[in-house]
Amino acid sequence: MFPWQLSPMEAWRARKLRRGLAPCVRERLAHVRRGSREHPGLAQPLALARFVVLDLETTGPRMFEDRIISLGAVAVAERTVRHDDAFEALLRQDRSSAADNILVHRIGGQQQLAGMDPVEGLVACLEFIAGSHVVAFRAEFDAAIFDREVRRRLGLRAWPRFIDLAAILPALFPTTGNDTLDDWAAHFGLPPIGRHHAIADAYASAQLLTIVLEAAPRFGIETVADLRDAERAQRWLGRRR
Amino acid sequence: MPTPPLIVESTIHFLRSHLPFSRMVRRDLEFIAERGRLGYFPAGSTIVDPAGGIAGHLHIIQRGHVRVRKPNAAVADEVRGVGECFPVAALAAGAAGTRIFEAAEDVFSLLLPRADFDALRERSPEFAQFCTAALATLAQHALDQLRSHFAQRALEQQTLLEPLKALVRREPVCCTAEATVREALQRMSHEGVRTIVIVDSQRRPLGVFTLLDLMERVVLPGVSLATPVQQVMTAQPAMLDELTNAQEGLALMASRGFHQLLVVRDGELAGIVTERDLFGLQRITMRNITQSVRQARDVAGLRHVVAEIAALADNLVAQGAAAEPLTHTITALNDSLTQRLFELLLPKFQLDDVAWCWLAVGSEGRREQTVATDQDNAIVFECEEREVPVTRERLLRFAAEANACLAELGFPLCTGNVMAGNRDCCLTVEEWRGRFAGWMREPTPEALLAASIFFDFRPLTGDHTLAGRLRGWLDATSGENKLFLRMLVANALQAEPPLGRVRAFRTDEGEFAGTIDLKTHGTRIFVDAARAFALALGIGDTNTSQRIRMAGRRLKRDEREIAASVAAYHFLQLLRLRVQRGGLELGKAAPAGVMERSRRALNRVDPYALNEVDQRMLREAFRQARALQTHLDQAVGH
Repeated sequence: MFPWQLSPMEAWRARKLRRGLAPCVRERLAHVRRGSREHPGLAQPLALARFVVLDLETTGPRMFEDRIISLGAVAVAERTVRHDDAFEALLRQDRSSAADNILVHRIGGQQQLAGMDPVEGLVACLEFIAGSHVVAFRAEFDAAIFDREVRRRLGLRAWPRFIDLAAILPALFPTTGNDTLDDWAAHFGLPPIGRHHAIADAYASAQLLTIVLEAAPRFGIETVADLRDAERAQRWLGRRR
Repeated sequence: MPTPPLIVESTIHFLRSHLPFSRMVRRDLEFIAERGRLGYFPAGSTIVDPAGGIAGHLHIIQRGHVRVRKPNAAVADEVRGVGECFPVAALAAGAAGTRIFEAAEDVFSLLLPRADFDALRERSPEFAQFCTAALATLAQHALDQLRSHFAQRALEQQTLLEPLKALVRREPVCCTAEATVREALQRMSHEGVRTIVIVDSQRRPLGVFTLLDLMERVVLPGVSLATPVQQVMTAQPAMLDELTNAQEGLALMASRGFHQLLVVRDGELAGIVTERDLFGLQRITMRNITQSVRQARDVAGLRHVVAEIAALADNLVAQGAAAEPLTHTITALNDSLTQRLFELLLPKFQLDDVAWCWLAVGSEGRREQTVATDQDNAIVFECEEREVPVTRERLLRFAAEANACLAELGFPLCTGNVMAGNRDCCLTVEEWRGRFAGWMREPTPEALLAASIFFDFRPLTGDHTLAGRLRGWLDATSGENKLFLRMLVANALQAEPPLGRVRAFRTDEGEFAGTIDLKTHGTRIFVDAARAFALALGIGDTNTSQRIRMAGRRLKRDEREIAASVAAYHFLQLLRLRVQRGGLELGKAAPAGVMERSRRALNRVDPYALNEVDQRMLREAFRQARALQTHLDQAVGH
C-alpha cells in the first residue's frame, strides 16, 4: 500500500529504528496498525464518524528542521466537541540537549523534564488518532512535521491523511475572506480559550469543524469522502488563484 | 486520558459567572467541564424537541439565544440567553417535556449527557436545589436585594440613628449597694422586671443583677438571700451616654455579647436598653398598633392606626420578612382594625338578637392583603323566614355605615360593588347556597368572576358557624360540578405569563407601555390556579399558598416543586408590595389626575428597569406560573 512504500535506504534505516524500540512500544504500535486496518473508511456518513482535530506546536516554522514541542487533539463525535475525549502531550526535547540545559539552566532543565518522552508521546497520539479521521487547520504543515517525526522516532510512515479545515471553510463560507484560525474564530464568535497553544488551537478548530459538519449537508456533503473531495477541489482552486 | 487543563479551566471560568454554577464547589464544576461536550446549532435549527422523547443532554448556552415554544404554536413565548440551561425541569422529571427549543441565532451550548446530569444532581446539593426549586435559591437572592433597597429608609425610621435616650422605655428599677438579695428581688418582683441596677448614693451605676444571675450565683451555689446584692451583681456594667446613637449601642452589644446596656446622663443612671429594644423594634411597633387599635375611641382614632400599619409593612419588608408572614400580618392588623370598628359601630345598631356573620371575601378573604386593597366584604345571616326582609334591612343599614367608615379609613370602596352594604351581598345561608349553586350550574364568565371573589370567603366578626356551614356545603359540592370545574380550570389557564418572544418579557402597549401588570399576569395566575385546585379537591382553606401546598400534597406533587410554586408566588407578591410602597409615596403629593393614574399603575413594573437578579427571578416566577398551570391542566383539567 502506498503509505508504506519506502526507498531501500529508508526501509533499512526504519527497520533498524524499529528494532531499537522497547518491546512494549513495538507491541502497541502493532496494535495501532492492526486497528487502522479496520478504519471505517471514507464512505462513513459525517454524523457517525469520529474526527480528531490535531494541532502541533513546533520550535519554529521550518518544516524540515523544527521539532514538535507539544501535541493537542480533541475528538469530534456525534457532532459535538468532546471534553471527555481529548489528548495533550508536551514532548521532552532531545536528551543530549536536555542534559546540556540541565547543566546550564536549572529551570529549563526542569521544564524539559516535565515533558513526555517523545516516543511515548507520539505512540500515545497515534493510539488516540487510531480509527478516526484526522483534521487540522493548515493541515499541510502539521501533516509534514508529524509524518517526519513519526518516521524519525518510530521508523514508520504516519498513515493518517489529514483533512484541511483551512481549505474546507472557504468552500462552505466563500464570501467571508477569512484566512487565519483567529479570523475564523472571530467570524463565528468562538470564545477564545488561549492563544497559540496546541490544545487551545485544536479546541478552536474542533468548534469550526462542528460548524462545517452542520453546514455540510446543504452542499451535498454527506460522507467523509464527500468532505475530502470538497477539500481537494478547494485546495486546487486556491493554488490556481 | 484526562481532559486537558486548559479546556477544564476555560469551561469553569465560563460557568463561574452564571447561576447556579457560581454557587457550586470547584469539584462539581470540574465534573461538568470533564463530562461536557460542545455542540453547535445553526440559527433556526431545533435543539430539543419533545417529540424525540427525553432529551439526551442538559444544554448550557455558551453563545447565542434560544427560543422556546409550544409544539403547535408558531411563535415562541420565551427566549433564553447565555448561561441559562434547558430543559432542566423535563430532565429532572425524567420526562419528554412539553416545549421545543430552537436556536434563535447561531448557538454554542455545553452539553451534559443525561446520566451525568443525574449524577450531578446526586453529588451537588446546589445543583439539585436548582433543578426543582431553581426559584427558591434565587428567591433568597432577591430578598437580600429587597432588604438592601429598604435598608436606608428603614434605618432612618427605625431610630438607629437616634440617641439612645429615645429608646428608653421606662424608669429603670434600682437599689443601693447595701440592699440584700432578698430586698432586690422583692423590688424586681414588685416592678415586674428581670433586671435591677445597683447604684451608689449619686445614682451612678455600680452593677447589674438579673434573674439569670439569681440562678447562677445565688440559688445554685446556695448563697443566702440575706447576702448584700453587691456581692453577687455583675460589676462595671456596659454603659453609654444617652446621646450616643442606637447604632453604636447595637455595635457594643454585638461585639461584647451583652444583652443590655445602661444609659447614663452625666454619669447618672437614666435607663436600660435591651437587645430587644434595638433588634426587635418591630415587635414593639406591632404591639403598639394592636394597642392603639384597642384604645381607639372613634373612627378618627382608627385612621391614625392605618398609617401605622402602612409604616409597619415597610419595616417588615426592610427586615426581610417573607411575603407570607407579611401579608398575614397586614391582614391580621386590618382584621383587628375592622373588628374594633364594629365594636364602635354596633351599639348604635342593636344587632344582638340576629345570627349574622361578616365575611371577608377576595384578597382579604384569602389573607393576602397588601396595603392598597379595595374592601371586599359580605354578610351571611340566618333567621325565621318571615323576618328575613326586616332583618336584611337592619343589617344593610349597619353594613352601609361600616362600608363608609372603612372607606374613610383608607380602604377604597369596591368598584365592583362587592360590599356588605349591597343588597346582593347580604344574604341568608340558603340564599348564598342558591347563588353559589347557580354559578356552578351555569358557569358563565360573570358567574366565574363572582365565584372567584365570593368563594374565597372567610368569617371576620359575628357567628362563625354560619360561615362554617356554608364552607362545609361548598367543599362537599364543588368537586361534583364537572362542567364548572372545567370552566374554572380553563379560566385559570387563560392568563399567560408574560414571557417574551424576542426579548425576555412581553410588556404591554398603550397607556402603560413597557410595563407588566404583576397582578393580572402574575399573582392572579397563582390565585386562580390555587382556587381551582381547592374547589376540585374540596380544600377548605382560602389562602393561596396553603391551597397550593395542600393540593400538591394531596396530588403527590414533588415537595420541591410545591415549594418552588409557593416561592414564585411570594416573590411576585413582594415585588408588588415594593412597587406599591414606592408608588404610594409618589402619589402623596401629586394632583388628583396623577393620583388616579398612579393608583392604576400600582401593580405595574417595568421589568427591564429591575436589576439583573430581579429580572431573572421574575422570569423564573413566570416560568413557575406556567408550570403550575400545566400541573393544574393535567391534574384537574380532564
